[in-house]
Amino acid sequence: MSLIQVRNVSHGYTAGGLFSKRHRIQVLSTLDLDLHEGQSLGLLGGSGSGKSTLARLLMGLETPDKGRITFNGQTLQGLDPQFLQRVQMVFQDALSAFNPQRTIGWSIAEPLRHLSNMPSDACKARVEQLLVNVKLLASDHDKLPSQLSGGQLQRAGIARAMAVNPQLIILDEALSNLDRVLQVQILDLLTDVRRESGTGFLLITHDLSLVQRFCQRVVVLAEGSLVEDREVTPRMRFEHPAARTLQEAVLPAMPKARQLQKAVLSV
Amino acid sequence: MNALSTVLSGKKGGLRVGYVLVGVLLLLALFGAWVAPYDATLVNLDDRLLPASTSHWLGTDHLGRDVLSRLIVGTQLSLGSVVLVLALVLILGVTIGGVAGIVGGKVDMFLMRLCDMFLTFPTLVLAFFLIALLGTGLTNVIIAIALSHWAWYARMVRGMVLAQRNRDYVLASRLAGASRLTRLRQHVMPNVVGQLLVLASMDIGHMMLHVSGLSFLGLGVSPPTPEWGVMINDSKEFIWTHPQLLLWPGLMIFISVMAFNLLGDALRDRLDPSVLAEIKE
Repeated sequence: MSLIQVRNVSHGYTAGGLFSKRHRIQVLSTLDLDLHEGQSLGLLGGSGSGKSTLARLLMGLETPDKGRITFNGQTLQGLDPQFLQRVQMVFQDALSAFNPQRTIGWSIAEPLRHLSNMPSDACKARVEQLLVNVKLLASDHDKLPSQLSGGQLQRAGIARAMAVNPQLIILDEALSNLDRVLQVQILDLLTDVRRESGTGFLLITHDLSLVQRFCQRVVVLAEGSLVEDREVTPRMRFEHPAARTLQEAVLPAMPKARQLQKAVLSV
Repeated sequence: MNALSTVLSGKKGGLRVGYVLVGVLLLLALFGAWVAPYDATLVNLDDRLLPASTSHWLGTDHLGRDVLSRLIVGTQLSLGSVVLVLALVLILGVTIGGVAGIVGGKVDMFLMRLCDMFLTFPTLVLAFFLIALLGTGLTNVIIAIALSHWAWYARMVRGMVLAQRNRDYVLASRLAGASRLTRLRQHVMPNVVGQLLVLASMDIGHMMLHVSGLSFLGLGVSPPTPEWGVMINDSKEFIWTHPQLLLWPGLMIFISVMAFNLLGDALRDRLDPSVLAEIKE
């Protein structure tokens, strides 16, 4: 049973203005995508391939020019609370995703306040539990965003997305600003979350190695449409040139000496 | 010397001096009439132009009035008028700028062109023009200065609202199901007001110079009433013989402008969360 169905979606923006001719930039064209419940799907694509536009469409922040996005069989219409209870999002830049004047706990409790009718002391307990779940301290509740590091804040962002127990969390380049160690830690954390609560994930990234570690299925977005859609296996090979480029960009686990240099050394 | 070095070397010393000075000024403004040793408007032609002595600490002016008393009592008018100007400017600026930023579209266009109209004239020229229309007197001076300054604030508030609206945390709040009004109240406005308070406190000095300047030109407070600008105006004939008569009110204006600037710095440090985190640690 698919959670979100994307059918025939086309979307674009109008660019230009006072000093240049107005023209239409087509970002997505006739795109189809199915997101299954409890699955983690990797959405790969190079810069400017339309990844973030797709995320905004899925999140209901924009309505597609053409085509239809349905959630549990219902057409998506703006941001209604029932939809937000099921789908949440983690932002790319963790520092700007938190109001600098509010404490971490206040920000994480925000979805609870607006989307659930939990009393405030239960909210606090839930937030502290979430903080512990994402390997932060319960005492971080009263800290300001500027007192946490980038990695800690990103985990707080994930805690906020998890607060209402959604069925799907969209990670829009949410790991791109972090270093390798943190990326792996957070992915392992999310894997645990998926096992325990059955939450599905959409991991938007340009880094195939993250997808290989975390996702069961991967789709590749290039020039506004999906060019690859396959199960993630350790030995999978993409066929489309754009997808091949992304695959070749991944560095091997261990550096290898070039054949030529070997030959020189052996002489 | 010690106080001076803390002001020069450390930020925190500067803050404390700012707080203390503003506190003293406020106390003088509130209770000046009781603190002043003499009646500030009592004319005594026998005692005119006395030098500083134990009975008149800062001497007397050309009508024999005690300068210290006039300075103290004058604080109320000088500060009070500035506070009124600022309140008017903030109310007008926040309302008009906020509506322009939040509603956008045609309303924004109309309000901003209105701002542009006010911004085309230098503030002093505009203030003169408005006083010419309204007539002289302190109330009219306050209205004129407020009307010639609100456009700057409206512009800034609009810019801040627009900048805040597109922040990720406002979007995050939207995804957390917060209504438009809640987002404005909890995310946009607090951040705007924080920045605005800092700007306003920095601007108090500027406004004070405006009010005093207009009073000096004889457009604001009329002579017998003690006010610093008026006092400078009154004693300008004695600039060569008794320069201290201009020096004291000038010094008061200087000190209060500095005090509010220091307060502005302090507020910025308090309200800017990145600095706040540093202080807490």
